[in-house]
Amino acid sequence: MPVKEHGKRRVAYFYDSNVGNYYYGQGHVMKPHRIRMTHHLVMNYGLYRELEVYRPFPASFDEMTKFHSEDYINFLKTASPDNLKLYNKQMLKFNVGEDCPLFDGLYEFCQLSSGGSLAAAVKLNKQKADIAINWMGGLHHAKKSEASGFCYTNDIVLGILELLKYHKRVLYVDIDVHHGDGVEEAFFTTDRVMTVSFHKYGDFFPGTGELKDVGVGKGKYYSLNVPLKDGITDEAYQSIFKPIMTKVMEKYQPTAVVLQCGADSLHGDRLGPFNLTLKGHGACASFFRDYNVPLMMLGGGGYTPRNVARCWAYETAIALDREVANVLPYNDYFEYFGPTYKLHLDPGTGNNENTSEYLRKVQEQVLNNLDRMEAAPSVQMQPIPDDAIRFLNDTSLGQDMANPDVRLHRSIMDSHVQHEGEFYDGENEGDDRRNESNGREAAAKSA
Amino acid sequence: MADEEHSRSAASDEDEEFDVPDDGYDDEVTLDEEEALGEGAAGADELAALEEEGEMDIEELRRRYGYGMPPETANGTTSIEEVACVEIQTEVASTSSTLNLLSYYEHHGGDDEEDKDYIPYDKKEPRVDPVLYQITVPDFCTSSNELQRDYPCTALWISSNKLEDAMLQLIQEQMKAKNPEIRLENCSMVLASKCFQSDNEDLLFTILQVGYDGEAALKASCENKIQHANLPINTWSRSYSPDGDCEHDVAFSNEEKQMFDVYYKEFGKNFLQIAQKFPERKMGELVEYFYRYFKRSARLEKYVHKGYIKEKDCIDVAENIRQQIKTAENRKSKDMSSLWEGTPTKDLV
Repeated sequence: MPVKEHGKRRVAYFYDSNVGNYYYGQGHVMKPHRIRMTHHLVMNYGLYRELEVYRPFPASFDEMTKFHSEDYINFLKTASPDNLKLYNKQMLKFNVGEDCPLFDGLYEFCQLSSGGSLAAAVKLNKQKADIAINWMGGLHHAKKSEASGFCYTNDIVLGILELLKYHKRVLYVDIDVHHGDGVEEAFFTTDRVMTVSFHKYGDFFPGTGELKDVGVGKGKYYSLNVPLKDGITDEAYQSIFKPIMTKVMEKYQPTAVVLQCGADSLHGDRLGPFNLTLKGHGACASFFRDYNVPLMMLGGGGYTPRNVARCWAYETAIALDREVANVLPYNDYFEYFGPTYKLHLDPGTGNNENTSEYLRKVQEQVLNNLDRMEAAPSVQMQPIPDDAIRFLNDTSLGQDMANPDVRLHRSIMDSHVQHEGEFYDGENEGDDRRNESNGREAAAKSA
Repeated sequence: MADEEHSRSAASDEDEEFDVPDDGYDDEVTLDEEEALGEGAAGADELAALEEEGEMDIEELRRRYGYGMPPETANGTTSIEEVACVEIQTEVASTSSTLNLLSYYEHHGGDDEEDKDYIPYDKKEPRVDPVLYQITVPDFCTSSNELQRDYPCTALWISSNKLEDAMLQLIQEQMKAKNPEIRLENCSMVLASKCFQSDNEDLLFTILQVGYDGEAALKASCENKIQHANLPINTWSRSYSPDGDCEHDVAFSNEEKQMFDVYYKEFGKNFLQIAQKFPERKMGELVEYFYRYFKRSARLEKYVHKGYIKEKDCIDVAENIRQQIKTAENRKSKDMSSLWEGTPTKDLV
């Protein structure tokens, strides 16, 4: 099948065959095996030959600690199911053990996932590819010192950090059914990364991702959240995705885009209550492909492995601008795709709780938030004239930028509040970092 | 922790659609028993009390049943009205700083019989702290040093226009060996045929290694030197040696298959424990065997035997599937291996 010249993109694909052999544990819904199933579909559809296929090196300790804390990564490295008992306290601290179990080969698995995203970012930076795909990655819930939602290391943050060396503005879009909290949190206070997440909100993991969460400080209005309800269909989703993302691209003008293609927003997912089919999900990928910006496509959630494989194979075909037959090719995991043995899913008949009125309101508010964002922030800071200081949101900035020879403006003086931690006198210094109100208590006690 | 384990394993792994047989039988035995006890008078009181409750204010109701002040919830009204029948372990919800995704979903089955108090999933605020949570964004890099940086990867396949030529060459050489009068069109037809739709990553890797030279690739295959492209080194057999002389396709022997059957029945999907019984095999191998061979045959049986397919169609469909598999395998092994001998067929069944 001839490839259209004008639509041609160099697509790099990162995969390591070890990844399918890691097992989270008996009965756990996250199955790395789905990545292997995706790979086999890609191969048997004949898409492999049009890709550039790389096996990334596992990420090193130093690479991963560019975001995560050292003691967290050390823990991941040294703890194993055999020596569990030595690590009870740390397991609690790092939230490992229940949702995020300690399984055999966990550290290697994280290395592969992160390695793929790092390799993808470097490939894009060097302009050796237009689209870079890493289905092993997309684990967006992991935090700096904490595992969460089946994610241990946040390969997305690591990849974006790499991209930021060469790209002024990076856009992160998350179409997983869960809120992309790990990535949003990491970049909550910066304007160089804009995070946009479409997700189910309301009595749903992880509990963050409200409309009103837009970022703080320099990052204010550089985080967007689109909360949705159960049962959203392809048309409804695109009716809100397209206008918002068009405006984002227009205003923010990112020089690189990272798309997390979590497949749990599909119909029939074990955890996700949405009703998307491959067409609606894949339309998000083709939306960005058309913009011709360097694009990184990552995996993510997806708890019905056969649908995950279908979705990501289809999106690989989209990246290559290739059409693939609806009848699945015979492959090593063919029996998993019964009883239809077809690629595309039928949309479910469940109720779509997102009324058009609701979607319209959400869209309006999101676009409002977007309006408040400064268009295309440049990296250099401009010297701020004195009289503009009083309108600044970031109060410390006002203080820093003010003319040192003149007394601080009254608005700054008034808003200057002693930091809570100033009187921090607790014994837990360095260890009990989560306890934010310690300073206050200590101050009250000593007063 | 033990409860978690139990509830997780209780949720079965089978992820195909099936209808729970529901013939609408409504068990009213207990109601009948109660009536038989003859509580006529008590019954009347009960009815009066229920009527009263119906008129009552919700606050009074709460106080009567000892709920005190209503909890502050983000969506206060909906939490009371919703009858979603979910029981959530409250200790988990309130004490752990990050919520337990799995345990929440284990109980959220849709098969709950009775109304329990509905506690909404806690709303969380975004956390801000430059040391604990956020990352300091590195400076925009202008030095060329950083841009030179390369992330180490092994190139397994780079697409190229030269591929078609290489493939044609390969086919031509192979077919010529059998029939010297072969023409190019025949080879193109073979190339366009269905058996070449699917990609063999080992073959493509070899073609890459020899610089897209069809002849050299053929030579490599004839000399049994097809290199494996993406072997699962960490998670596979210890007998693997990186020089290429690997026993990658060391199939599970019949004894091993039987052992696996036995231990699977005993331990379930606890591959760590099963792996202890297979000293020569790594856990990853067992996982792969499970997904690729064990489960597939089991799945086939399930589709045939569990009544998803009607009895009269039963044999036909199964036979159909078996036929499809057989012809696809034959086609694959016949065309592929006849064209390049020596490619190990991945036939571990």
